[in-house]
Amino acid sequence: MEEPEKQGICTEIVFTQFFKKNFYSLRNYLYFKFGSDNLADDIAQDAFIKLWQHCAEVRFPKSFLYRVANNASLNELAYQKVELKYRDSKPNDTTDYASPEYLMEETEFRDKFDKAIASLTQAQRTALLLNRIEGKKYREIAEMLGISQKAVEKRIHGALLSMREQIDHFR
Amino acid sequence: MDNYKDDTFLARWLDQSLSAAELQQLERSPEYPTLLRMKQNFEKLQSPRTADDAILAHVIAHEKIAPVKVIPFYRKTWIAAAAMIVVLLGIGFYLLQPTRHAAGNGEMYAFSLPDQSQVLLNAGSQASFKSWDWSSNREVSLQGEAYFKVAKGQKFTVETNLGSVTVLGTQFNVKARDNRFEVTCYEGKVSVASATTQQIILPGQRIVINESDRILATTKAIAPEWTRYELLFENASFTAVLAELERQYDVSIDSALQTQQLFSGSIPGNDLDAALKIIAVTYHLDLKQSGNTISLNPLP
Repeated sequence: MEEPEKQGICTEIVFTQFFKKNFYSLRNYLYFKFGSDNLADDIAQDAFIKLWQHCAEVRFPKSFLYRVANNASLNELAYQKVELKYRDSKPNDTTDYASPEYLMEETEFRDKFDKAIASLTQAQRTALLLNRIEGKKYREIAEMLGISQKAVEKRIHGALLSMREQIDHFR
Repeated sequence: MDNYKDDTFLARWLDQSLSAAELQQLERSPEYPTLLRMKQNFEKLQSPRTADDAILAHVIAHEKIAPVKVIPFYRKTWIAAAAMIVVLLGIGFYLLQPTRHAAGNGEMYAFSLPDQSQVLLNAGSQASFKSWDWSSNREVSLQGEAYFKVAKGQKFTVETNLGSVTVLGTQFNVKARDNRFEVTCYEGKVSVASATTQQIILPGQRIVINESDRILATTKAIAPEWTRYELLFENASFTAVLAELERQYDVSIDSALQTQQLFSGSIPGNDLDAALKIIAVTYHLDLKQSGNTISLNPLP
């Protein structure tokens, strides 16, 4: 985990770079956790505000960020399970040559796939999507969540297992 | 239900860190087609993005909170270590320093040694000893005059620049002023050694050693006269008497008198006027006093 110079994070340029590099990771981590855009935006933003305000004292900005966000998350007891909207809006590139049957089948699979993700536990979903969507390595996820890499792998294994069962069950 | 080798198996498959054999085994399993399709589907997912520039601007618009400045005294471990060594050396040096006691002019000062031996310093004297080594090394170094009441025990030594006094447990007075080394024994046995001589003296005896000679005298006193504010002189030079008066009364005395006439007798140690009168009468001097400055000059 490379850290900006202690004083550096207080300068706007360094802070901006740090923000650009870490905002989405944090924000989407929170989104995967809560399934709420607004909540994720708010908590992520608040965490960055705290970092900016206390930049002079913070020695490990990234750890600080996730710690603040996790603490804030604890207070957000009122989250509800919301279906995640993570589909991209670009047209399906199989459209041009696929048969209608294939497209139907594909849509059906996608629905089951989405439902399966929504039914994962919060812990499984967060770990899995950070890896699959954010492209975070297991080690990085472990750092964000404050757990061991092995625990991350277990969660992801469990998530895939559970999804596979659901999808095949409703076949 | 779970027929995988371990509980991280699928995570390692996603991570492409399965061995070839493990991968083959998985590919032959009935679940594999669904798993593969899931994996492909993940690739179509996209990270949700929001407008981050607006958020960044909002964040930076906040005022920074000035940190409560806690300036660590030692920022680096080696500085702390170095400081620690300095402190320890300091403490060590302090503990190894001899203990020092002094009596200024015009005062007396009493103190106890670690073994409860007692020392009374006469005016204008000082003594020091090593308290950390006291039990194995009972040694006091003395400048000036002091009366010792020594507790029984091992050898006890008083070092002066004119000689040393060694006892086993007794009461004695040591006076080492200018070139005159004077030891009086009140109890027990005292061994006196100077550069030129060595002598054992007994209770009631006094030895005076100066450059040229050695005088053995007796005393009936049970403690030095000066502890009762009585200044006793025996064959003392005029300058030695004046010096003693200066110390006892914390005054400064000038005299133009040059004399070899020695002084023997007792002078009060707590009555300056009487003391000065005795000296003035004895040496036929004119006494003038202004404040702490006294002049004693030959009568016209």
